[in-house]
Amino acid sequence: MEKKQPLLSVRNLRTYFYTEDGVVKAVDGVDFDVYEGETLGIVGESGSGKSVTSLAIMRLLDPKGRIEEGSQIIFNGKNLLELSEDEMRKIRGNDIAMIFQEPMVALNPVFTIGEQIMEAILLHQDVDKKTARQMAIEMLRKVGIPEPEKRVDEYPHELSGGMRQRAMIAMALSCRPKLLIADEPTTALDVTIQAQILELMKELQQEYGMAIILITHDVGVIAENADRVVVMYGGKVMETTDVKTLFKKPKHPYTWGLLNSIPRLDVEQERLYSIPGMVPDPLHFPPGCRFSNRCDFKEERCIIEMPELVEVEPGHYSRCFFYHKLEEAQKILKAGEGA
Amino acid sequence: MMENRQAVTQTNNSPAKSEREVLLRIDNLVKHFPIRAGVFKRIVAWVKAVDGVSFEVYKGETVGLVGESGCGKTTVGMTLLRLYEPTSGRIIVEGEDTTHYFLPAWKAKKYVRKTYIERFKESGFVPKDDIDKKYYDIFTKKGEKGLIEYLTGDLQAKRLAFRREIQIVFQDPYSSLNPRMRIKNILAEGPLTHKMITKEQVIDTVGKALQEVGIHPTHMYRFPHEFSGGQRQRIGIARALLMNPKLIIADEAVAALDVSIRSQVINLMMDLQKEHDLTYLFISHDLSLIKYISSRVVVMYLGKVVETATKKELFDEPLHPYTKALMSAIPVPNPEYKKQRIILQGDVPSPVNPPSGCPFHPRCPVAKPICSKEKPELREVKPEHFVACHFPGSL
Repeated sequence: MEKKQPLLSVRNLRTYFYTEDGVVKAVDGVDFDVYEGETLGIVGESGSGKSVTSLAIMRLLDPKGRIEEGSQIIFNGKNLLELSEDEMRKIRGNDIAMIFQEPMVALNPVFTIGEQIMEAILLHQDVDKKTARQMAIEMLRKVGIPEPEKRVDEYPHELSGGMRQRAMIAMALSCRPKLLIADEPTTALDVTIQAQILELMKELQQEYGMAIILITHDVGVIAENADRVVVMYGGKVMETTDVKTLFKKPKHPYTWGLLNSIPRLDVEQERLYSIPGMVPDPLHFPPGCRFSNRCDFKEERCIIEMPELVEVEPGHYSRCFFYHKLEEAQKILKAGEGA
Repeated sequence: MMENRQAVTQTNNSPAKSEREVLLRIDNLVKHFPIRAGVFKRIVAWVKAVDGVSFEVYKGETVGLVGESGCGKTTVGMTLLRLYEPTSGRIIVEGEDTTHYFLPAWKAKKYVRKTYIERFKESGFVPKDDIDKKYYDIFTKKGEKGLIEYLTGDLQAKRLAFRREIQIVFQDPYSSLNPRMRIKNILAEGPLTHKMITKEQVIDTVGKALQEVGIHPTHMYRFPHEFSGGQRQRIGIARALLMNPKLIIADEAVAALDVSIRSQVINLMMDLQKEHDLTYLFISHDLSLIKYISSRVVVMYLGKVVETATKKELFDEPLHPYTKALMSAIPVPNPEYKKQRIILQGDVPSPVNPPSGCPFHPRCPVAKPICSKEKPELREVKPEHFVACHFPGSL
């Protein structure tokens, strides 16, 4: 693979929340790259730090959260963390846009859909109101909202969940961003609507050539939509590689456990694997590897020492000392399935 | 061939057809909610949440009730438990009509007269089903009064028994446990009320129940907020289990949990089923989960059952276009898995004004003119495979 210049590089991102109970290390040293036109999936459970990572990129953290010294978010050659608030505002919505899980919360209930889309257009582009309105209608048509001339004057509550998410996408894409961050964009939707929205995002990505960071807990959504995947757990990247390799040959016990613990339509399953224990409390991560207290493959070293994210195969990074143990486990599992 | 089929159903721990015992039968269940408006709160419309649903649950099996939001699957569960009174239809548990159990005595009597006695008195009456036969027998032997006494006598005791026999595990583990009560008291409340245990037995019983769901017995003195979501759901399961129920309704019981915790709870529920010979009605929107856990599946759309079959039948050969579309919409965690993707247009219509004819016809890729005019009935197209579609298998 040729070495391309990444559109976005996140390096050693650490985001801590200073609460009364102590410091919550929500994101603790995260590195990844996003290339032009690709979809990077970030998968993780609650508390893994996936949403905080996206908010940190947009610099939209609430005041308790702080991006620590030494973190870098380089977008198009500029470190976003060094920009002033004014400069950042020019990037937000224009170069990097975001869509959220709950469109009803993310949309302003007292403005019409049209007004909200026009706000973004007027802020970033040198056009008059009339043109902006025309552009808003065009965008709504593009995202598949029927009768956009009428819908443009409707309020968010007048639209269904799927339509609201379409309106959000219209707003996010109105300035043709280079990067779209989609944080659980379909979690609140029914599966048939989810399929519509994901299909729409793919179409628009091809048309606009933008990169997408798709954040979700749904491994299935990742498998069908991402090109490369980052698996997060306890504020750290546990594994990252291209989507096919990840699902075929995971090199981290957490990924392996996750993939084997979901019910699937495509294969018969006798019994699901389950990862023992609980999702760790970010105030009390275990010392050593953060997954060590739930890992079926741990050894003494894991409890004492935090493994580094190392390249185990070309382009395949894993944060585990004993990733090779997985191959044997996989064989045993396969044999079990065959029997 | 027949042997084969039996073997398949048995591995899904559902007994063969001949020896199966019907635990629950829902017969043409209807639940409409009024929409009120104006100063006088007049009824302006009806939400037809459940509109003629029938299915059976056999002893020891898991029936998966699946559908998207607004299809009425939760309302079916709630009406079953009589947390809502049904608008019409019958809920039959172990061969007894329980529909009138939670009505005031005079209404219960009225129900019995209307549902059974009036029909029995008609000339040329022919019993429709087992229940009819059984009650007609009582009617001929003991007369009208005798049947009314049989069905409505001692309603209080019948209510208590019903409440004990059918338990529910709710979706949200955060709002379904009283935050002011210790786990011990939450779990002991039911058995004490039903006089299943004495006060002295509480600690012992609760401890055992907690152990069974994988929580340390000493944690019974804690409050709900001290537990994680998965643990709370385990406590909810223990609460249901303590009543020694015949049927457990699990309404999206694992939907709120993280992926890694979800499989723990699912496996726990399946283990408990084997151990205690439990029967589950598993309500969920997640078809992959339903495939894993159920032995038979009921698919609902807009208040109606569109398809019902054994798991193998349904997933091997779905016949209703909606079932097929639903399956194709589910993201499969395998990037190399190629499938035919059917993307449905539009949203689920409102249950206030459901479309004429087949409720699915506005979104159906293979709809024909007849679909908008005539309501398809649920009919058996293959043994134990029921579909409500004019053109089953055409997609």
